[in-house]
Amino acid sequence: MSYPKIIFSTIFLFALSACSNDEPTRLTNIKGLIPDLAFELTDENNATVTEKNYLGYTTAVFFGFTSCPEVCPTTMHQWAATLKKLGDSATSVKVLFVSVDPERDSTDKLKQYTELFGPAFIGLRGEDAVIKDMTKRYRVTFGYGDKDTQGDYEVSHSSAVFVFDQYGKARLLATQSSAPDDLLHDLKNLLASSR
Amino acid sequence: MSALTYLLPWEFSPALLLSVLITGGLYTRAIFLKTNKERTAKFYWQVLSFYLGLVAIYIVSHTYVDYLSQYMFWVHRFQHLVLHHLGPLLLVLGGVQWVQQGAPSWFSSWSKVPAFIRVPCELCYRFIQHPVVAPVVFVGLIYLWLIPEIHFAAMLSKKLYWIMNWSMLIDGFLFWWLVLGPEWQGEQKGFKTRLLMMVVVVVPQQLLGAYLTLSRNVLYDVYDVCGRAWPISPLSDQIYGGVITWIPASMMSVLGLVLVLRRRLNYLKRKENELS
Repeated sequence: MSYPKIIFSTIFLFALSACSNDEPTRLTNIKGLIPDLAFELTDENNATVTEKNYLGYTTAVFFGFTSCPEVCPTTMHQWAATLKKLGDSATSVKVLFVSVDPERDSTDKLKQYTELFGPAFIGLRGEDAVIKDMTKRYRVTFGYGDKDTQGDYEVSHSSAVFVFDQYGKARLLATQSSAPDDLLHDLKNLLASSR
Repeated sequence: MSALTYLLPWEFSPALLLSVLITGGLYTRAIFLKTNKERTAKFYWQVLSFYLGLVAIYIVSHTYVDYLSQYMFWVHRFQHLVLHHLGPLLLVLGGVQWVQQGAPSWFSSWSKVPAFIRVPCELCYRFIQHPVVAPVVFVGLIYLWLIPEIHFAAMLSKKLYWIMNWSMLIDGFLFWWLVLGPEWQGEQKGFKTRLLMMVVVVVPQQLLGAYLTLSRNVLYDVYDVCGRAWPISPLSDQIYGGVITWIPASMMSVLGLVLVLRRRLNYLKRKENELS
């Protein structure tokens, strides 16, 4: 029935696979799909930082919030464990935790939070509009639920970790459901290729 | 959030804005050129249908609805319902061919276009409007963009997202133009084929809609990966999206069927009058 459909999908998949000539990745390869790393935010030490501060590092960008009950801590723990397994080469990795709940996440709170996971983890925050622009750039979003009696509210946010290489080019996309072995495998390859 | 946030485009698209302005402008010019004799009750219904279709297409692709469509599966299904089914159908019923009357004369002299451009264009058009190819492409595109891997890439990449929505809009227009456009004149030009085409597109859409609605697994994780517009369980999002694909979309095709039947009836009546 779907002869043009087959042609369409073949061309399509071919076009998609054309983006990834180098070593096949186990995680989603986002080379060419997502724009390069670019931002201007405040870090957990109240200093203004841009993507240039992290050039030379392999960076993992995650959009979360510190009061997050499940997705954020799970993902951060997974990354902390992976970095431990990477050993020495982990020193060239930075995990940027960008808060999508700047109202509740002060710099102090972010600092306390990222210290739980290790020195590679850096909390970043910015004004609501700045965060909106940044999430739009990476085609992710966030939204807030209604406040309860204690003033707490749910936040819907992206579960993705975008990995950029040392030049700030988008390379990999990991999620909460990515297998730890796959993450380790792809990170090792990425770090080896950037040496 | 102010009202402007809802009205302004999430991602500004000059191509869409120009297309809507040019089509709307030429059509408006054409309806002013119509004589009083041509302004029957049917004419006013057609004008209403045209503007409704054009505004609907604009709203789903160039306002806050476009933002929601990127971050909520069911809104995305609704957007495609308008882009692929409702909008183009309303434009075709609204007499979109009048646009040509509103256009300057050089605009409509297609025969003067050099053959090396004209012939391949005509061949492509004839191929895609072939009664066997058109329904396959119509349904095939819905399936294609809903293949989980492709859907993932389309939602993540701005370029692919753009291609996806334009392909839906253009294909929707071509399909409804073929089925209900003004070129349909008389029995010999394929009344039965059109009826059959409408029947053929209903079943696969219903199967897909049912599959999405009844699936116990979350098929499209891109909305978890990218975040949703507001907190909602992934499975309910998918069920709403499935129902939109299942019921209104196939209902639109049934509506198309009824419209084709009505045309045939009117045609037969006219013929009878001519004979008597």
